Amino acid sequence: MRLLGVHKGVAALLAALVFGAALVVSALPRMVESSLDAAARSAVGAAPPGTTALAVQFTRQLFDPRAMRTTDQVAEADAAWRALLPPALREVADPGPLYDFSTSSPILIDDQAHRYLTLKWVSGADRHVRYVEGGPPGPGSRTRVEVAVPAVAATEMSIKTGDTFRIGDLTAKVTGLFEPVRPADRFWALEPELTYVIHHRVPLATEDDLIVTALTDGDSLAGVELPILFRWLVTPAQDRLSAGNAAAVLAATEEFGRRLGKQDVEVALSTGFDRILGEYLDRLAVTRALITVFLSGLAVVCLGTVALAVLLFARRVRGDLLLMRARGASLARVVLTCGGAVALVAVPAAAAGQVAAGFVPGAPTAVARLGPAALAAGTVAIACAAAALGRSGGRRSGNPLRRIVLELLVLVLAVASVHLLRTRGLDTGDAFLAPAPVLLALAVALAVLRAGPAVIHLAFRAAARRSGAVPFLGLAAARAVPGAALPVLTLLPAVALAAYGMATAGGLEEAQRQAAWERTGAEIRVERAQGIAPETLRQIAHAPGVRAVVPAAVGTTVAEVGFGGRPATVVAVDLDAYRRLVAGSPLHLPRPGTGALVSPDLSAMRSFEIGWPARTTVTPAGTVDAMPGVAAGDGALIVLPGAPAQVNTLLIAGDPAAVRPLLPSGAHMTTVAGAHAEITGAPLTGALTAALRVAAAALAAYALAAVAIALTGGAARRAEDLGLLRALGLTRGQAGLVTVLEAAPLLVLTAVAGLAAGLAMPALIGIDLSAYAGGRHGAPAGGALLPVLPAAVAAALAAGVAAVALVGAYWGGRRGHAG
Amino acid sequence: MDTLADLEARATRGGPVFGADAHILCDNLVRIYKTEGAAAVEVVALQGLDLLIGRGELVAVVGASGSGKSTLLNILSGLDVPTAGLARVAGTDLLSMTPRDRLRYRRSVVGFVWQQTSRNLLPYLTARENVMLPMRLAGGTSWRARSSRTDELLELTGMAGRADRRPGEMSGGEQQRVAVAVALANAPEVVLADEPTGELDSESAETVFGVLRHANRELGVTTVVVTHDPMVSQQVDRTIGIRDGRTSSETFRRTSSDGRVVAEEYAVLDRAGRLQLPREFINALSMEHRVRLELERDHIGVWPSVTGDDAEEETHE
Repeated sequence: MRLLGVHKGVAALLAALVFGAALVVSALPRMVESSLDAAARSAVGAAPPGTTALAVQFTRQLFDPRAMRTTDQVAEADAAWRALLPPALREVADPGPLYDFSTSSPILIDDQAHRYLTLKWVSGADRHVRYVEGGPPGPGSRTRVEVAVPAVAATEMSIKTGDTFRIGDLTAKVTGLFEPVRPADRFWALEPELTYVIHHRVPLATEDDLIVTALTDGDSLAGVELPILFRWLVTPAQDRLSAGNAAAVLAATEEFGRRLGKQDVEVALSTGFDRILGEYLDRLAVTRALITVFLSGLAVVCLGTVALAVLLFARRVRGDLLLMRARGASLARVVLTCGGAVALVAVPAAAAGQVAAGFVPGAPTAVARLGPAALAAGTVAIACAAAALGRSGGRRSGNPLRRIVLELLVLVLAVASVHLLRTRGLDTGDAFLAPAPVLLALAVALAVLRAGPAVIHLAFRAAARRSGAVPFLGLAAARAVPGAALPVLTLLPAVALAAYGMATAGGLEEAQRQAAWERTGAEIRVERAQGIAPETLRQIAHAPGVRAVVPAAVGTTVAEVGFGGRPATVVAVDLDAYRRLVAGSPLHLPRPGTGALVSPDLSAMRSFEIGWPARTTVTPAGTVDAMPGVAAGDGALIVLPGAPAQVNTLLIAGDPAAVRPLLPSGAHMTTVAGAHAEITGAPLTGALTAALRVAAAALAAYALAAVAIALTGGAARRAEDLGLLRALGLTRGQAGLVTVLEAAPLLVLTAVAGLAAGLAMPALIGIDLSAYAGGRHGAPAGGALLPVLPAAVAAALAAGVAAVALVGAYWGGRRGHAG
Repeated sequence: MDTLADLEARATRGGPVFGADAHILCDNLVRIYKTEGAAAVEVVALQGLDLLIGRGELVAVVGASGSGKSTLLNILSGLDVPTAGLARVAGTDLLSMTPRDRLRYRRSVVGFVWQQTSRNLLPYLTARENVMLPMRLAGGTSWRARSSRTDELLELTGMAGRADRRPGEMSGGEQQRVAVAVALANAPEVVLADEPTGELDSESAETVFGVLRHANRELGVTTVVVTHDPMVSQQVDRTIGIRDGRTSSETFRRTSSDGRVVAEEYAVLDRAGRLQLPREFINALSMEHRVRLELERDHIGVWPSVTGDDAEEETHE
């Protein structure tokens, strides 16, 4: 206690460092974990319920003698399928049963008016509908059924209660019109066709087909001799899904599918749940891998900085401990005194850090729970080691052979782990690969420690030849700085990982922006399948707030090559005008050629015919891989030069609010901002970016602390030197500059090497972050050129750390010069 | 009664100014320190010290620990500023120096040698680099000139053979010899040395002092050595004793006609007529508080006060 009282400053610094490290190490995983759970819920919640539901389907063909002739049998089947649910899936499944069956395809009821009817029975439908007219359908016979139609459909299709329709041998009588009791109920999301009339246009038709889905009596429909589609829905309850159980649920889903496949009845599982979970798990793996990388980096840097502080403390108390030894204290007693003093600071600080991290929402992971304790234990261990080894006082020169072996070991480990990472990928969840970036940074730090002195020596030789005293003195001191290893080993990984974090976060944003632009193809994109009238085009072009409009036609056709032709997407647009429109955006459009541009699979053709937008002969003049905003899928892509005669797409630069009121009905507008919001809106993306930023900031702060402590550690020696230099006529300003130059070479070298290592990491390690960039593959970590902005931000961060440290050194030097 | 005009005339007429031709002059020098902390205490390190040293002299300053020797040396080297009084070195008034003057003064007027060998040299520079350093700091000389001056000085101090060694690779005596070379680097007018042999064995001490004396004679540089070492104090022409922040005694040495060194110790009479009696004299006659003086034809007699009654009477008078 007394020891701490005397060295209050160092003790307070140590406490602050341990507290900060415990807080970050404990809070960061919590923060991410909570967002992972939220992301799991949102991944399922954001998708349409029809997609996430597990639908067990069975189609009963005509004259199928087998079961499902009554609703009771259908209910029994539901219980049977649910019994097959593996436990992990049963835990997240909504226990409420929902099953339905309907005619497997709509039945024509009015040839003239293109009206179709689908008969459907849904379990528990009567709880969700309210009859605005008539009543529910009653039991029918083999030739006659009663139906109730949605009120909206009745209005649109002019159906009244009491109407009857002929469906082959069957007569359907309308007994009532209904509407949803609560339209927001999940029920209606799963049975949406009961709320509107489906419009459908077959190719080459001039009019839409109108399809209405009517509710009917279950037993009657089951008894009818028509192909019937039976569906049993198992809906996952999104609040029961978490990052922890997602993988098990996915496995259970697949197992459920296999179990269904073994049934006597030919049932199939139809769901998008597995795809959604799979995508989520991909993101989860990348996120966890990145967080592990940064946590291991943070651990190294925090422990390094804390070690520097502990060593500073040990140096301060060395005199007292030596005196204890001289007075007859045993080594164990001395170690206990030093370790105990540090424990008195570190343990409460680590505990306080963990408590403070408790205010961050999220479930504590193992790292969050054990990290602070490990940190405190490590701190005390370093103090004990420092007390035990440091009692001799003098600097021990390490065994050079051992040093070389150790350096080689780190190098080999770093290279091997990076190689493994490149070949296997970080998101495989292999925990041993996560420290690869840290190992890489440590290897670079060792290289700096090897090369640094040589560089400084060269600079010193140059300065010695010149007359200036300050560079000479500063570099001479830099050449002789003792104990630089630990600061470099701490600072370099900090700068490298901070730069990596900034580059990754920045690169991610850049990629998301790029992805948003590529989705829309212009600031605003308006599409209307029926075409856009020249008048509308003129109105939009002249609207205030609209800077430019480029009309285009985008559609599908068949390129008449080979026997069957090849499906192709055609884009007819004035490429010059389009390029001007998107100048300054991240989009790269093909250069306009002399003729049509085609995808590589068609480029070998001398010419071929297409039927859309007009029958024409295409003579390829160049190749094009993709057009922004156009999904060609597996088909070919054809870009026709020049403005199209028939316009169905507008590419607009300007204010979306100015365009929206001018849109004709049926037009669909997308904007870059909207697409970007959609991409970045995923909870995981925001959390990852925030976590990367927090980690980068913490790393920078600890890097700064490490430099400050390293400078403080040499303050006594420096003050002595400056005392002599002052007597020899060194000015205050010169003293500051000498101190700066003493610290600068290694600091700048370390910062530059760290920055370079950090910026090279995305290319070296190649974590595929495409899951975060709206599925845009190859960006940003896939070895592409590093985006300029994140690199600049990371460089500014490293330069900032170096600059703050050097300004501190300057003022420290001035203060060391007493006047 | 004098008129104001008379007084003015007398003031402007001037007489021989005190220490006008001295190379180092201290007149009534006072230095008061304040200790740090809540209970700040004032410590009077120098309380009206007078000192005159001529150009080219080699002078030793002796005194008990805490007598103010080092304070005096710090003031003379321009590292400390006196609280009051007058201090002039080589024509430079140390009280009225601007920071720029102070820098020039440290760079080219004085050289300094400390007691601790480690404080005199930068550990990471070789002997040669250390000697060159003051010339670099002063600037204005070519690399060639600096180099040849360095060689000269290392030759003078007998350290030419150790030029490329760092302080850690040299003995304490060698380090101090290099320190003397460093102090002489910019051809200062005065070299101040604070116990330069304090950490050395007698043999090394003799060598280092020999170098200082050699430099004094060869280069004519005024040298002031603060020392406890009788070997040193016995080898200089003049030893100045300091007691309680004042110069108390001076010992002159001359070589008599038969070759013997004769030392004569004098008490210092300051400009206000104050005199410090040697402590052993005071103790021998149990003198305290006051003494009786009698002016004789060629000396002043000092007698202890006789009795307490007398003292009583004198107080009432």
